[in-house]
Amino acid sequence: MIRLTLREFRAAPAQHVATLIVTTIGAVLATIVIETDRVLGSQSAVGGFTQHGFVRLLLDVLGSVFLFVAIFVSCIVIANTFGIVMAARTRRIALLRLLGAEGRALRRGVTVEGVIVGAAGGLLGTALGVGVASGLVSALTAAGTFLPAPSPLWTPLLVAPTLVAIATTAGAAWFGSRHVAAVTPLEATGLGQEATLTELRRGSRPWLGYGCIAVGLLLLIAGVAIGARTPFGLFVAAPGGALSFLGFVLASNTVLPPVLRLVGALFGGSAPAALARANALRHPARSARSAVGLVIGVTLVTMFSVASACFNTEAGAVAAGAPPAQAASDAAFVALVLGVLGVLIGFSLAIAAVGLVNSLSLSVLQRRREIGLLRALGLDRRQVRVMVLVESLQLTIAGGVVGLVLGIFYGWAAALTALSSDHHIGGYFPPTIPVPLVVLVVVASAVLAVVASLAPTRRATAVSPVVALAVE
Amino acid sequence: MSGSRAAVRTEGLRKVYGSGGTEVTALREVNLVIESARLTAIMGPSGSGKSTLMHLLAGLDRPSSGAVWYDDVDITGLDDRRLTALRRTEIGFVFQAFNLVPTLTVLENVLLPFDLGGVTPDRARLDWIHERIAELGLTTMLERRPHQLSGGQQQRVAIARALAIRPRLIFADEPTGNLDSRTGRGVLEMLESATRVHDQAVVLVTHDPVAAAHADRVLFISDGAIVHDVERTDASTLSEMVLDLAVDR
Ligand SMILES: Nc1ncnc2c1ncn2[C@@H]1O[C@H](COP(=O)(O)OP(=O)(O)OP(=O)(O)O)[C@@H](O)[C@H]1O
Ligand SMILES: [Mg+2]
Repeated sequence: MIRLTLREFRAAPAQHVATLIVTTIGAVLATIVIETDRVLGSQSAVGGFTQHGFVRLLLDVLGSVFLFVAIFVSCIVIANTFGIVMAARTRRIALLRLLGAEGRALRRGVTVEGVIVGAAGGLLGTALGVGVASGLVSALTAAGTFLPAPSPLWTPLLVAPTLVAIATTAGAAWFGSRHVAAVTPLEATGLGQEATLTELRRGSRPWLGYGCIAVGLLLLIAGVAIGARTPFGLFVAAPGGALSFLGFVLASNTVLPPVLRLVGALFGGSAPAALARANALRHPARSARSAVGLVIGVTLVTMFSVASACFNTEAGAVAAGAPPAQAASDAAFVALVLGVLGVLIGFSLAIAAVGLVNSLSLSVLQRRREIGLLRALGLDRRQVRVMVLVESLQLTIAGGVVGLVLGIFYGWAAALTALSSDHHIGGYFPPTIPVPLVVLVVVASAVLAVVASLAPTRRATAVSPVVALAVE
Repeated sequence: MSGSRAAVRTEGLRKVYGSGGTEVTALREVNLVIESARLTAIMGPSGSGKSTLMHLLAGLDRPSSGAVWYDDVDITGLDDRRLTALRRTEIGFVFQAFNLVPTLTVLENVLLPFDLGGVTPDRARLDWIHERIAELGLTTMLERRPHQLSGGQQQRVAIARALAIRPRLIFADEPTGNLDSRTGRGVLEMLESATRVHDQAVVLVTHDPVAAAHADRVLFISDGAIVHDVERTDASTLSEMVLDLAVDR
């Protein structure tokens, strides 16, 4: 059994590259969070930054929250990747079942693959993270920002990123391979037609998601209402917002496909566009999961910039009354926090992007035969290219737009709650939408779509029509 | 010859696919005894229910009604675990294509059923398996991977794997479909010898009268029912029977 698992690595190492990258990125972030706390600790011990205890706490809290977000996004991406990889292996899994393998044993084997990749990614990420952190520390020390302080590279806490990476990957692999146990040995006996993994036919319980959305929104609205009297409404609104967003992510299987369909309709009725549309919706759950990481990242970025833009326009009047030095220092602090947030969210966005690129590549890889057939029937290379690009655009645009809408909504709700009780402002105000951000998201989505489609396009156009005729 | 011992027996076997307006009755009331140490061919027009019958006999699918007896066990009542173990120990499979795990070597493929069951074959069994491998002419290819073999060689590996567990039954669905006639004959002769030498039952599903002529007994299925059941006969007689069936319909 274990031999089969190891052979998977030898036969097709590429299938786990995305998982490796994702776990590595996550572990880098975790390591940096740990190292930041440690370095700031040793700095205050030697007398620097003592007055910045608050900064340390803030960075710890922000770091932990966004580490959690990054892990969450990683789980989605890894589970999705394993789901796709398993779909590609359906035939082989069915053969093993036919020859007498237990479904659960096969699934355990897949989880072992996850553990191995997770361990590798965790170790790699920890090494990279320590490298980056120590590089930064020496740079800052050389620049005089930091005092020279003894900072040993190793702390026992650094095992944590690897352990978390292993747990995350194993869990996501176990979840992503849930259909393996359902593959019937009968699927090995069929000939010709592509094997299909029974995705979404069962499972997909959006009700939990809908429930979270409903309760979360109620809390959020209550929080905003309380916010009209006191900013402490945030303590009600924030959990409400988080809960409703979690609900959205859970229900994304049913919420995103209609958006994908709508976006798909933008590309007209040419044959490649129609094929691309059909592809993106062939496995609605899979497409939704590919896009949802992007939705999370864009929502967070948008939420924070909308909230701070609202803060600037609405509180600007207040700040006019304050002494200029105080205002400048406040602004600098806000800028610093936003910068740190940007970096932290950047990790989640990077993970989401890897997930998107990967699921597109794998889906093209799996359709080799079908693409071969289309080529044999007369689809030319350019049309193949258009097909893959449109599929990619559909995912990124849907993800970007949904993220923008949600982010504006949450950012505005946060600003309303925090600011509307201020007697200088007094009550309701419309959201301030930072236009550069919207442009940035749209452009970045398009760029991501093009980048994501590069490798799959190369693969797809290289498929020769002969592939369609080959047995196996 | 111990030809009358039953390897598997069916009783009132029925299979209906779909429901309501789209119902298809693939098998109707099939009563059948497949005997050990014989090669039984199943012939019939496309869509007549051959594959369905084979799937039910092998416990790969459940009948709508009826029973499939292995000795005194009705396998239609077994849970997935027991069926899995049954396939691993009592049944060998050879198909037209995609028989082998592409990531494993030839030898690993042959020994796979043991591996899956978590058992290590003992010395005597290994020697026995290597004798079969030698008979099949695979000795020099043990370290190769399936894609480095021709279709006929792959088919022989699948046969070696099926023999290795000494199953009571070997199912072969169109095993010669992708092979030229000479290679195909070699494969059929090996299946034949499995029945004589190793006392196994072999069920061969085929459209090809030449292949069916290797069988000790030929069953004809039409529209979900067995319409002829004949002892060994030559290919031209068989092809006439096939043509008659096609005309009947
Ligand atoms: N999964 C299924 N769902 C619905 N109908 C099915 C299914 N599998 C088979 N059938 C139907 O059952 C009947 C028997 O099919 P079966 O595959 O057993 O035929 P066959 O004799 O093996 O044909 P062939 O020689 O073409 O392989 C056919 O009418 C087929 O359409
Ligand atoms: Mg058939």
